[in-house]
Amino acid sequence: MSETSNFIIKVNDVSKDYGKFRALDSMSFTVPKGSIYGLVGRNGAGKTTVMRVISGLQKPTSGTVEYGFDHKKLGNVGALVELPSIYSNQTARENLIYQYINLGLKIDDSIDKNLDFVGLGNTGKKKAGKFSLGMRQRLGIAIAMSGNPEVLILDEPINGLDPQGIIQIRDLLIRLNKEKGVTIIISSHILSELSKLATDFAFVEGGKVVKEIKAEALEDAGGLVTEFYSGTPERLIPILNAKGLTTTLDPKTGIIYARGYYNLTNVVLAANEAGVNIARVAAKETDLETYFVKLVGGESHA
Amino acid sequence: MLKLLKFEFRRIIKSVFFWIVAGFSFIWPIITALFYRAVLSLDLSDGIKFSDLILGDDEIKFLTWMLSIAFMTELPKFIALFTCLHLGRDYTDGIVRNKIIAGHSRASIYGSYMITQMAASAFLCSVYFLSGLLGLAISGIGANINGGEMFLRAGVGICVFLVMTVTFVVLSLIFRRRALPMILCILIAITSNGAAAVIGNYNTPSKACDDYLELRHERYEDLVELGVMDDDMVEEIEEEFGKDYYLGIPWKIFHPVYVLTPIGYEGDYSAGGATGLLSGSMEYLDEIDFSSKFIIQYMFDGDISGITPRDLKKIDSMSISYSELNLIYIGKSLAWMIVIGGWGYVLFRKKNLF
Repeated sequence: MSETSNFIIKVNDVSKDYGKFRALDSMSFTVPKGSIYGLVGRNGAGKTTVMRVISGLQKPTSGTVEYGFDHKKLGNVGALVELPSIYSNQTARENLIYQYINLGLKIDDSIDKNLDFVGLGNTGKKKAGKFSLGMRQRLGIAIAMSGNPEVLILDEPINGLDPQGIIQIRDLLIRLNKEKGVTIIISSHILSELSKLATDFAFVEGGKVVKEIKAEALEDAGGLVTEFYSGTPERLIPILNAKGLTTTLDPKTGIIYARGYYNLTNVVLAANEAGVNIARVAAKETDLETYFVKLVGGESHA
Repeated sequence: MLKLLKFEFRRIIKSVFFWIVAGFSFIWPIITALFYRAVLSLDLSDGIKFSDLILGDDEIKFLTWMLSIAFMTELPKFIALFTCLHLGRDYTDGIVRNKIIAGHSRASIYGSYMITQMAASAFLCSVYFLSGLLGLAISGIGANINGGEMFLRAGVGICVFLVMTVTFVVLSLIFRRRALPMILCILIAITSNGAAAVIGNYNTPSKACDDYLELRHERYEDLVELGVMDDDMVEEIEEEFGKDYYLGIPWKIFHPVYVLTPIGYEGDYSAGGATGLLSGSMEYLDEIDFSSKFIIQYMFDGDISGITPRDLKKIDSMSISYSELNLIYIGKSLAWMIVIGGWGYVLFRKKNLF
């Protein structure tokens, strides 16, 4: 661990066994400092387990977790793993006061600022038990971010929220990342939301990270994919390539997968000039979900 | 650790249930003292009227003890409930996770729960004890604290009580669901009263019984010499009411429990008062007649030697000073707190807290 390290957390070959069940299997990944790091995976892939390990709730069976900051300092790690940990019989403010005491922080007006930051500044004497799920999640995030942590670990923070709640949490996390420079590690089943938020992704499958990729690289890897159906695919491929498309031929079906953006009229005219027939064209954008399905196979259950 | 202690003390101070129990601990002994006053001065000889209260110093001393130490029987169920509800909430609301994520060690978390719950228990017991003295003063009965020695005895009582508190804390922390530890703790609280009464009765050391039988034999020999009894009669009585009669199966079961645990506290400490009242002598109140209560209960069976509690008092193995007994109980209580608390910590350390 060094002051100048450019990672916030580095997971090295971490395995975690529950009896005979191996939840994490030599998992490795690196979370860059200042990123919003999205963990994508099916149920039971190991996302929650690795979050528990890096937040200190569980010890790995083997492997190590390196921290690019003093993780033993109280409050340097904030986490919301599964459900928000709040006293349901206390107000939002009282819950934050307890967390401040927990961290040894001075009880001052920063409590109210934190509550305002998460949009709970006007909840007054309402007990947390009577909060909506979104409010509870935001209070959980407020508690997790008390003490200005270096990293915030959030497991399914938008689970069960209505669209408005999802937008609120998304905006809140982006502000935390941009305004306070907090690195965020987040998992979510809602991949469309995760794709709007994360700067980096790790795809988790069978207790391992099968792929780490930056958001920009994901866009490059994805983008528009068009399926060209032709009686003479081998003659169509050079035409498509000449239009700047990257092509792959499925030899079994004869379908050409062309990646990239193009002018369909130009392509059709060029094919016509060359005497190549195009029977059908199907185009679709590759998003995070498609990428995930392609990567791990099967249906998307992330 | 200090941060966690501050955290937990704040929670306790803000707990409504805690203040309800504190209120009970303050009010109930006063009501009881006023009730005693009314009963003791009730005169039914000529209709219903209340006469002046005339009590001996030993009776006041006995009442003082009986009333103020009643927290041993009155408070366990409330403390059990308070501990389970208070600590259980940290599990159900997931606050333990917050503490671990913040960077506190499990040892600190466990220690903070233990210390604050013990402090809360000690506070409630002290309120009850002091309120008992206040109640006696208000009621006009008056309090006799035996030159301050009563405070030491109550302190030992609190120490014994804390063993129970430690048990409640451990049970609350090793079970995730709140209902099960609550049921177990309340069962312990309820049965502790009966257990203390029963096990405290089997405090007689084997040596004390031997000494009593020897003294009785000497008395019978005197009676034989006087011609009141003959040898056959003595032999017959001694055969029937021998050591096995006094120290039978129940003694063999409960005496080891008594020796190893602090459960017999109430039995032991009430012996002085009981025998003091029985013999009408103050001297029995100054130190505890360790075995007398047990022996005296049995003296009505087959003892025609005319031995009195005063005679038993002269036997070393039957008497013990309060200071000695206090130390024994403090030692036993500390040992059990360490054993139960240590066992709880081992389980808590391995426990899945999320």
